[in-house]
Amino acid sequence: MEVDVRNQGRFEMGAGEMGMRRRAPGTLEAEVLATLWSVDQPLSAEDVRVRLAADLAYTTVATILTRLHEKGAVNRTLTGRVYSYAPVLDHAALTALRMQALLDDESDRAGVLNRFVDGLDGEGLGALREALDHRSER
Amino acid sequence: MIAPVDVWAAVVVVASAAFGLCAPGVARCSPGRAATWLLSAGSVLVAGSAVVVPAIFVFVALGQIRFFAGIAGWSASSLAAWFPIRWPVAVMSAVVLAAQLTRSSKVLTGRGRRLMRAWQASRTFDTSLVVIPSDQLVAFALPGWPGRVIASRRLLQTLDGTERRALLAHEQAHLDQRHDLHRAAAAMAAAVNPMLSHVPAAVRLATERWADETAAHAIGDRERVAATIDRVAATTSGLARLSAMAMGVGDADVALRVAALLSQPRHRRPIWEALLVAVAVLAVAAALIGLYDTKQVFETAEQAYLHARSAR
Repeated sequence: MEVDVRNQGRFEMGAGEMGMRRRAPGTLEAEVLATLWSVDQPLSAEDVRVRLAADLAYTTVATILTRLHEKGAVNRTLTGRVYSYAPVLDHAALTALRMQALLDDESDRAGVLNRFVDGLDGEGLGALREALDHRSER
Repeated sequence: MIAPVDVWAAVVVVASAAFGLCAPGVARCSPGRAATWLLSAGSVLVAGSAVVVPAIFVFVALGQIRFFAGIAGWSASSLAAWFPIRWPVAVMSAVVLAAQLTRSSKVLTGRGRRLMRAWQASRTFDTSLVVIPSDQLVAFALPGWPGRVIASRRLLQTLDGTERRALLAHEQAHLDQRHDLHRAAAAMAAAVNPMLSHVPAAVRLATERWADETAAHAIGDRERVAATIDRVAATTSGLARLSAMAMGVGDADVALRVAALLSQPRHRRPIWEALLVAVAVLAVAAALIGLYDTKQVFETAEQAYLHARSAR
């Protein structure tokens, strides 16, 4: 059964993403994981698909979830006839936390690692607000 | 000899200064990808030529000391005649060379160790996203082969679906486009040549803009990416900013990134970019010609030495 789902998934991925912009490999897996982490309850493949804000085929999402389960990154439980998936907190998170400490290290200002948005000082924030206000006026 | 080595040294110094002054400004007006490559590759070329010049002076000065000349087998007086070096110049070159060596080895050990730790840690993960159970709003790209995206649970909960996609596309772009290597190259270049001291910050901004542009392309909406950055910035700058985590730099990069996203996409500036490339190539050419001239001088000195010996 599982083999079937995978093959379908691969086929559907091509068809479903025809009109979409190209994704970098790995992005889809990250998006599915991020969706699972963004809520407090387990989600079915269909729940994930709806929340993804991307026009993806059901089988594509199901395939990614199956792979994530094989990697041990998510737990799944059978509720009724479908699986619900919940993210797993494992040792990887500990390593990631250590890397965050590296990020916070003052001497790393030159930026080996970089947070998505760096701290802003008052001046920077003012300039930002100005840019946004200017935008909304137009 | 095409010209005295002093001339080539002067060309390298002037080209370094021109590149260091103009490159960050030109990069700011170019698209992120072009800006990043221009800065990183250009600064490496300029820095490389800035090592060659003091090395030539030190080497020639040592060669004029009779003791070394005798061992190596060239005529010290011929060398001094073709390539006179005053002592202050020789000492200054030695000091510059030593400073370049210590500064670059410091960067290598400091940044290199951090990069190694990041690369090692990223190998232990088997998913492209790793979530930390933290209440801070934080996300970053952990470079490696392959690199991984790290994000806090709180940040993922704060963002909606499209914003999450923008965030992930931004961080993935840092990894796929190897921004860690561009930044490392610029840091090394600035360590070797102080005239390039503004380049690392410029590369940092350029890579952020490159990642923003990639994210905007991925979700097909520049304004949504700008709004996402703004929202995370506003939230982290409020309460969370007081915590130890967000002690980070207070710089205006974020404002520049948002402004760049809200304005029209930048176009390439072929003339300015070509000029900067020409400056970098000029520096390398001057260093190579200086090196070639030096080699000629040493060959002449070698012949003079052999001639003197057979005459005896």
